[in-house]
Amino acid sequence: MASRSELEAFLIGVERRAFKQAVFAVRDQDAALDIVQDAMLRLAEKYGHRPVSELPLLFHRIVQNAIRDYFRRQKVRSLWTTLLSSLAPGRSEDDESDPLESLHAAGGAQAGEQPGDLLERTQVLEIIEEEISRLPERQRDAFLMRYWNELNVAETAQAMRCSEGSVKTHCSRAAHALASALKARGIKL
Amino acid sequence: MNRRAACRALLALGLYAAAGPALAQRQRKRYDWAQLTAEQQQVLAPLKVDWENLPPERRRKWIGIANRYPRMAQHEQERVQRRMQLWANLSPEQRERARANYRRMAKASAEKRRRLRQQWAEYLAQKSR
Amino acid sequence: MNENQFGDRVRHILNQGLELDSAAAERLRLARERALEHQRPEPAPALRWADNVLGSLGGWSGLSLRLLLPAALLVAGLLTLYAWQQNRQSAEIEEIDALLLTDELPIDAYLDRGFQDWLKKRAAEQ
Repeated sequence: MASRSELEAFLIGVERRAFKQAVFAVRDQDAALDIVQDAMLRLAEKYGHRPVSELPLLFHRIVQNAIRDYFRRQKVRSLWTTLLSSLAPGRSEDDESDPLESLHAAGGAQAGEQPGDLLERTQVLEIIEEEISRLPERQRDAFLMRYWNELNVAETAQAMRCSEGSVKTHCSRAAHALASALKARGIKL
Repeated sequence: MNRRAACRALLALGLYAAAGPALAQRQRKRYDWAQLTAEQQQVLAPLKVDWENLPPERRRKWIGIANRYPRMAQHEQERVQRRMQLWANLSPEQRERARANYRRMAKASAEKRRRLRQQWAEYLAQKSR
Repeated sequence: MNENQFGDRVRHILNQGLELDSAAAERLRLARERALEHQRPEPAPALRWADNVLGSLGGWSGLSLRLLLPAALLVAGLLTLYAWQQNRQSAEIEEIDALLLTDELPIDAYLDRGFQDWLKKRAAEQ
């Protein structure tokens, strides 16, 4: 079983990546922090006795579930908002278009004119993070688990509860989508 | 995760239910003479000598009978005192035969049962003749 | 550039984004501390056994569990029934013994084969 210090070391190693991944998914810092906080607590409470080697997989599953729960709650909330706003007169707004997104897109078009290597490193990071967060959920999960968290295909498949074949498909699609999106914005890795 | 948790709990519950009787069997009390209450010891005094040789199952039965004792009529209590040792010293087969006969005869009507006592006396008288 | 190389480069860049602002870093630290305080020791033996069973099935495996769970419950049910039966049997024996010990007729009457035969003969004669 994982000792306290082993669990601590595991959490320190994984918490920031988990936080960023949650941000990619929910696009909200506070919500992402809540998600990671819940996930850490759940891991320690329910699986704190498991061997260290099992923790990465368990933790990823918990984070995924927590993100899914978050969206479920959001859906319920947005249903109420829609109902209420439909009652309120004179306000027909399209929620789909996020002003932030169009702003970034504009910046991206501008950046596209410059050669990638001239961009600041932080800008490259921002763009990559942004494009990753635009990937379909499953593709993003698979890609980040494989290449950021360095789980192998089998582990990723187990954590995502799908076949190894679909992990490979998700990863390949994610990589291609990401590469072409970056290329369109003038970034070459 | 929730389904898994539910399964885990159900499986554990199943094991407890399955292991429960087995554990109870193993941890069954030994009902040593010294553990009996003073009242139980007094009622079961005729069995004291043999108590050590009784299996826990039968000890438990006798304790149950001792607990019924205070609710019995006085003449019943006297019968119990008189018969206890004899009953305990019978072989398991004899006890089983007596129980079987009792179950059968107990079904008879109250009238027939009353006559039984008379018939038993008649039978004894014929036998000794 | 193949997928692996691409993934490696993305990892490299993403890792640069792990520098968090102090507020977020502090919240993560507090969350971690809190989680560590709630680390559970070993669960009860039965729960651990259930974990092992679930684990050996390779996590959630619908078919096996759909079979295993009812089977486990059935076994548990049968054992409970058996225990209950045993209990009832010893209760019945206690009841009969108490009646025999207090009955109008002496125990000998129920033991004596001759008496049982004599009764049958008498019943046939009448």
